[in-house]
Amino acid sequence: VNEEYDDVEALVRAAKLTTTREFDARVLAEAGAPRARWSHAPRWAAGIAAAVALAGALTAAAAGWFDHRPVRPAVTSPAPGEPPTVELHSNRLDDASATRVPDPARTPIEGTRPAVAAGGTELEVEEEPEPTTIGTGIPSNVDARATVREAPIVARVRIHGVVKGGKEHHELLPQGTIEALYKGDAALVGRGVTIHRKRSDVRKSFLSWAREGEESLVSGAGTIVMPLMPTNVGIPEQGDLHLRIAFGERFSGTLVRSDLPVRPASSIEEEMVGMLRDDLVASLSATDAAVRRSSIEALRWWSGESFHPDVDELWGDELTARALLAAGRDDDPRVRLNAGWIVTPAAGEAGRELLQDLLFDSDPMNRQSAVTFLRNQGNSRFLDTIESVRDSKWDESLSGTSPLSAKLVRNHSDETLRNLKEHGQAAVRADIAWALGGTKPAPATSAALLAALDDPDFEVRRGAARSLGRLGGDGVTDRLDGIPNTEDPRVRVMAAWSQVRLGDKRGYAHLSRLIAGEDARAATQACTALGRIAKRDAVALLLQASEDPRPVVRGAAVLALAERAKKGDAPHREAVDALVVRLAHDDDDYVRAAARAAQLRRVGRPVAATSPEDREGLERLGYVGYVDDADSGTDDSDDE
Amino acid sequence: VTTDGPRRRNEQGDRLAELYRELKDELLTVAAHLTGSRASGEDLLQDVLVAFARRGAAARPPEGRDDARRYLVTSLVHRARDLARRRAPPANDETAIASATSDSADGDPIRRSSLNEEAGRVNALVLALPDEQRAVVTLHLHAGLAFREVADLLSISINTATSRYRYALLALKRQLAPRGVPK
Repeated sequence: VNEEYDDVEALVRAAKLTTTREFDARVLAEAGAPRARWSHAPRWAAGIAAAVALAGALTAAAAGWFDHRPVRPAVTSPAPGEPPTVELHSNRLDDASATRVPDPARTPIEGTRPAVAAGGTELEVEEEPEPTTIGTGIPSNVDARATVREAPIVARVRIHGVVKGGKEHHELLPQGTIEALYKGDAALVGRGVTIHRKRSDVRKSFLSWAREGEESLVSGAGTIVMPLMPTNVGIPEQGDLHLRIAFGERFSGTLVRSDLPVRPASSIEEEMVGMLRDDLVASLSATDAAVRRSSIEALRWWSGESFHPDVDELWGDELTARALLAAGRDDDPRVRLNAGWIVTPAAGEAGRELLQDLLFDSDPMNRQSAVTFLRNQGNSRFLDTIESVRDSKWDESLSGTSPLSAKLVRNHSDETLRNLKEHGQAAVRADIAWALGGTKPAPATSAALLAALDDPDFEVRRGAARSLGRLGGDGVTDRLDGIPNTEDPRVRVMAAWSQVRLGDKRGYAHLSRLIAGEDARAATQACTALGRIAKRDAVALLLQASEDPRPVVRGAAVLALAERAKKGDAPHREAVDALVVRLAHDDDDYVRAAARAAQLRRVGRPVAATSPEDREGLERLGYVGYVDDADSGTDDSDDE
Repeated sequence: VTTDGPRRRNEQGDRLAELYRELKDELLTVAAHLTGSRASGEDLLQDVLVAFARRGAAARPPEGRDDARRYLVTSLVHRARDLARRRAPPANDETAIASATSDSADGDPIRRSSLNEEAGRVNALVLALPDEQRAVVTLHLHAGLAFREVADLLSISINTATSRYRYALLALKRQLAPRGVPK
């Protein structure tokens, strides 16, 4: 090969890109001097800013802790059902703020006490700010049962708000505090910052959010993860804790202008996250298994369930990586399992090894989780693992609560089909129904799945409908077509999608009816299913759905088109581009946010409503009945 | 809580700057080819370098230029994959790549201009390759990885890596032929 293409190789090698001076300055400022970072500042500004930052750090050190409490925005009281409007009033928005650069090594976690964090590091404590409830739109009370021994407890809170864009570009840093009450006393308190948004994402997305004078939804990004530290008020050994948001939602903002050496809010965010992470990593070596368990669970939330999972970030830090690998061999099965969940998505050698270990773990739940993990993988990164497991001694008996994974089982037995029909647990039947879609097509399999369409459990019926779409067989499309309108909409969506997948165009009519139907969730799921279909018929239906009176359906339609466009289908791309222009001026916040998400090809829906309890908000968006953003299940890596 | 002293930070900063100067063009090329555009490549490279610097503050960074390069290239691949999972590929900014290439600043201006025109064209062609092929080409030719390493990094077999490479070079050769690539 090399000899034949020597000349081409030489040309490609020579065609190297060169960095620009601005880029060099930016990278060196940011990477070379991580304590005084700023964005897009020219080199001379970087020099001046470094001096200013040093002076600021000295001033701050002399004056005690830098008060980095989040900026209190003025929040206008919203009308019922409307999200709050937030205007930024930040003391960081002027030149003077440039001198107020905190020393990250000494940045306290606001409002935490006592002073001892996990790992024995002493942190000084700031006075707690006065409790002030700002904003609405988040559930102010969350009942949760927590065992204090398993500290640090991690709470997750969704935030939501509207920001009015100004002439400047702001970066937003949603922050929140939370406290847990025990018998009326504050037993635990903590604060959190969002940890999911990378600097560049924030900047890019906010540029499009914050046009002058325009109100934009900034929710959807708002998972806050915060460890709660015990206070010195009565700490129960174990008991029901009542969690509440202590200070409501807040945003802090930082002006990002190239001529001002202002510290971006996101850098504080990253440092705070680093601190939280360090505490949690340190807790992984605690002698108390309960502490190790809660710490690894918190890390898992962070790495896997935050808005932008970034496992590689974990691996960038050798200490963390080492601690996680050790956790993968912990005595406690829950610690092993969670370590596996964090590490395996990285799909490196270590990830694969941990996954293999989990498949043969002594704990059946761990084995089952490894199977589930493999089942949910939509790509080929683990094909080697799957192949090796298929050839090993792993069999159905080694799985935990349910017998199969579509990707692990090449051939199934008669007993499997019998279990599909007769097994006492619906979850097992559902898993089999789902898994059979990955096996070789056979008349007996299709027949068993057709029979499973009459199973009393809707998940079994849904799994069967999906697998039939993959296997086909005699009479399958007619049977799917005959599913009555009284069937659960989720099953109907799946059946219609399978019909289309098998080339039966009658499926479109069903999907169209589901979109037009009263059940908004069924309509959104139908949109999502259409987004998985690379056909012009699907585009036409989605365009129709984009004119639905219910905002949530309009939003789902544009997001579904974006999903398809992401995969490179030209008709969808054209449709999205046209639609985005129209829906960017929609009357509804949610639809506008969805249009922007589609425009940015950031597929994933914005938060539709403030909380499931917010009935008015839900009704305004057009949700009827329940809210459940469960995966539509039609996300196949090998779809059309 | 970090306990780094200023001296260690300074040494790390110097070392990073030196490393950056040595590898920046190579890494930017790899990053741009992995992401499909110069702008995304710059973002990617910046993130990786910042993470690398932070890692240097927390633990011992890889020793030696080759180890550091391998580490950085690996990080680029992982992050690019992560990005691709999250969002759609950006529109190909072939012109941006082509024009950025012409910023190259050495040699006689006339010769440089003609060389850069060629380089820009080659870059545009590389950019037009399918993602999988482009990744193999850039990791082998720009990052200097052996096929075995490329295969490991991309979690593919070595046969797949070499065949993707062969298809890519074949396509490039065909595209370049009308302009008279030396036989």
